[in-house]
Amino acid sequence: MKLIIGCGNTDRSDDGAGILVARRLRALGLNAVEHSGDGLALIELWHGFDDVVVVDAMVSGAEPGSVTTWDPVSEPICSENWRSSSHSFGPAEAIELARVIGRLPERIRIYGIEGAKFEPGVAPSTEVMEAVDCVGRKIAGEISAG
Amino acid sequence: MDAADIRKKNTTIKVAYMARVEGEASLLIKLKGDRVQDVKLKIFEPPRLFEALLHGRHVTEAPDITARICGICPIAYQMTSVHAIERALGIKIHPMVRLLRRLLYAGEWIESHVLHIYMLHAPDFLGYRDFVELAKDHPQQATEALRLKKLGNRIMSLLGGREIHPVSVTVGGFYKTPSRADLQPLVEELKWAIDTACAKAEFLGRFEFPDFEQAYEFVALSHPSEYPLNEGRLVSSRGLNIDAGEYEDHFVEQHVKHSNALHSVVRGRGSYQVGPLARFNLNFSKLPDVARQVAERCGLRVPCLNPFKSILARAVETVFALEEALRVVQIYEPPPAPKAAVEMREATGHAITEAPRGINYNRYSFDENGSILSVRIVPPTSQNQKRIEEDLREYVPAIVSQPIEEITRRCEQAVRNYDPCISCATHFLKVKMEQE
Repeated sequence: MKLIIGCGNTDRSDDGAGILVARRLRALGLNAVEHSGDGLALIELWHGFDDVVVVDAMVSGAEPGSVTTWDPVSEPICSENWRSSSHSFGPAEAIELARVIGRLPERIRIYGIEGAKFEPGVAPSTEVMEAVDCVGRKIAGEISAG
Repeated sequence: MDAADIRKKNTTIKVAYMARVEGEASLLIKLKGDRVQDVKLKIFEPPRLFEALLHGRHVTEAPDITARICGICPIAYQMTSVHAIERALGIKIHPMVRLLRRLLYAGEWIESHVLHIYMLHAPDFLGYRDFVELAKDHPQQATEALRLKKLGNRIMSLLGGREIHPVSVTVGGFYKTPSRADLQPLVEELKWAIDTACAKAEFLGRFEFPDFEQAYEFVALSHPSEYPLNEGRLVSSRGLNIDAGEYEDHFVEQHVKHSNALHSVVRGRGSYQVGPLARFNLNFSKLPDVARQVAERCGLRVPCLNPFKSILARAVETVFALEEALRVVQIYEPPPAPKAAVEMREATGHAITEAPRGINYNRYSFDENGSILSVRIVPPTSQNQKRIEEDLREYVPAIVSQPIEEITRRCEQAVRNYDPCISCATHFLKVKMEQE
């Protein structure tokens, strides 16, 4: 079973990138959900799914709107790239925790969209909105291709 | 730097950043030789001004606005605000609504306590960097902890509409109350959770606890027949026994230069401790049998003056919260109406409830149209903040001969005894040490 999880907060500018991708994919009829990004809840959310895609905003110093992908099944991901949610459990910690307790989905891909601004009440940057469209199309294409 | 260097020189230990979006604080300890000269828990998270932004809003909006103060303990703010407003207006809630509120609050205690015990504090006692490392060696403990936390979140979600910043609580009751059938699926999971939480408390009881005790003034609610959640008189281990309306006669908040959070003190006496250890010490006899037995088995006895054993008090309270949740689910019948009628008038009301981290005091004044005139919110962390600094001041001399990394690690552990919620974070500290 496939699940797409868009993480973030649309009230904080580029932090909503993952949510915006999820909304685009849900509009296409795909199984996409919105999530705050709390790592412990993520582990519960993907429990029972064997093919999971997680999309979240990230901060790595790269160009705003650039997209990075990971396959956490084969390699650990760097937690420094994510703004963690409450009590330090963000998506990166969730993946490592899921790995050690055997809760990592059989297939999981992470899309990180580099954000530029995270102020409350500010619209997402143009570069991030373009990346949202791009990632949405890519995921939809991958899923339709099976 | 080794211990000998520390003893010879003036040393400043800076825990520079508690770099999490929900709370920003640092820790500064200055030593002269092996004597502590200064301890400051610096909360530099910007003021959030909730009291001011409530001015002019309708009083019925307060539960939803104040829930946004915290993503971990929103119920504490919803409950305290509705109780203060209901007391102001003389509203009597239906007994089943009261029970549902206890269930909702129990859900928050479960998720908050389990999060802090296993994910944040237990790694300190076992020498792990974080919960992921703990989970590698103790996968069953980790998996069970996640399931327990999920149950707390599930209760909040079921009653509150969603688990973070729930939206169902309103002045007079709830916008919507569940059917009896809605709650029944919780029964089997709660029974599993009680057994599991009891066993896990014994696991915690085998931790090694620093030999450190202080003569605290413990402050908590006390109810004639219940372990306190939503109501009761405010009592202390030094004889305080007051109604919520008298709180400001006995406690005062002080601004200190180094912190954006106010320090609360008992007038004429000073710091005090609120939270699980205070509740446990002042309300042990009100715990259900199963929770008292767990306390005995994990070595927690009244009076407990060791703040490091607060992790055990949290574990005992988790068992209580699960028991209370099961009791409510088993006796609940839907009330005739989800909320009592609200007739607005000019009034002032006060309430105190027990948030997971300790007492939360609210005062609301509003005019005849319900427009808020003034608000006072005193959360638990500001009440414990001065006490945290005093603990460190007393604790550091006992560990000053240790390497600097060990002193820092133990100080972080000591801060976490209080599960401070600087809008909910005091974790993952980056340490820097400077020499004068």
